[in-house]
Amino acid sequence: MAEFDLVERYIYAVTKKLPHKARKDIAEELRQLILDMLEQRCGEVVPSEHDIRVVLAELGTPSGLSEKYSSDKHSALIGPPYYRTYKFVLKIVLLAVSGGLLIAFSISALLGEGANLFLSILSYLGSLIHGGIFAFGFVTILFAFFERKGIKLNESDESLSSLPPVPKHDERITRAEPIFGIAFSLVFLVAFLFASPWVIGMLLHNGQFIPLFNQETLLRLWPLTAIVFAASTAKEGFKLHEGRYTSRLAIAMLVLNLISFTAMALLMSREGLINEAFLAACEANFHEAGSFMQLFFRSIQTIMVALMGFAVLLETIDGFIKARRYTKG
Amino acid sequence: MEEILSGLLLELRRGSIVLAVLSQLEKPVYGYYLVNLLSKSGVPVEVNTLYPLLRRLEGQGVLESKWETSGSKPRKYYALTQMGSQVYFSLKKNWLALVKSIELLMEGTDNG
Repeated sequence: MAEFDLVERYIYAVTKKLPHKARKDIAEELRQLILDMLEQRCGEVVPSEHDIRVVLAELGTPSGLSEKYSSDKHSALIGPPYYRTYKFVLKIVLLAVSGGLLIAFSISALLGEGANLFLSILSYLGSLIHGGIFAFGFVTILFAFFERKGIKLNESDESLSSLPPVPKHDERITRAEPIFGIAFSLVFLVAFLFASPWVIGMLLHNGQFIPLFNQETLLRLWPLTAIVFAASTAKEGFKLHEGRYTSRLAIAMLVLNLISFTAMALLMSREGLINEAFLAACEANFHEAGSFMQLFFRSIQTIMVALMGFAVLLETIDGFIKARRYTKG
Repeated sequence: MEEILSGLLLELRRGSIVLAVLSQLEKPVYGYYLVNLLSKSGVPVEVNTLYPLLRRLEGQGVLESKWETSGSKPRKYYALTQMGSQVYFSLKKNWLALVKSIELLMEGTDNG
């Protein structure tokens, strides 16, 4: 009965990936079917191996048949309703990650850190692969979760009257702007949490680099940096989602900007954030330039908070003005 | 052109296979018998299409099945459920109306 061993192997290959419950039943049904087909083909004669092969070929490949037996539900990790959004989000995240890393590495290469350009490029590529894989995995798992749980991503309201008007040219937010924004927040995150001792600071004439911040303080306060990053990424993500200036975008921008500004202000006003050696180096190097530069660096924390506040204020006001202008029509 | 035609034909047949299957299941029938029956009636259905289809229809509650072990071979017999009969009845009515309308539409076309 070596020939029928082939039948059993075929049936096993078809059923092994099917749900446990149905496996036995399908196997038995297939076995009878194959026997019926062999009987029709050979009549009373005992089927040869060739006959068996012909019959099994008629049934198709085991994986093909198995696929026909599996129900469509959850057969894909990320199915059709999610796939398009998944691809879109993935593209943006990967663009932002690679762009952000490129900017971060260009800056560090320009600052002369790691004098070997070749090594810099290699390390950029390494980070690119790491970051890319991490981002890819994260987005994929997120969407696989959506698929499993059947979480709706689009607002269900797609009735005709609620369709938004076609945005006019300057009302539209191009995709490049938020992508650049996300890349920039990524640079900020990397620079503050990982690279500040080498990137943010002052290069002395003798080639010594003096960091502006106390790295330990910065690391201890990592949640604040993370909040700034999360809030600004969420803001850019919402811009991307809206694709135009609307009042709810303006409100979201106001809230998220407030959050990132507060976190930034808390971070910057912290005692001991600024490296004492940096201030000392300032005193030593700028005494000719007069008191202005010294004053500047003495109050650098206040200045940074003020600058950030100004930028955030401008953006928020701009958002409201544009929303008002364009929603009036 | 051959390729396009066979693709379109496949699509056209796909939906009608269900109707052909349901039409023969007022009395319990086993899968391979149905394959031969449909093939003789001019609606050949691949075995590897019909068997999964029967199972899917059973899962939807259109068909019910029973293993018959009294014969020489154990066989799984499928038949319409009460709900399945109603589904078949509706499908049949729709099909007949569709055929009539399409015939009307195609009347007087050049190649007809």
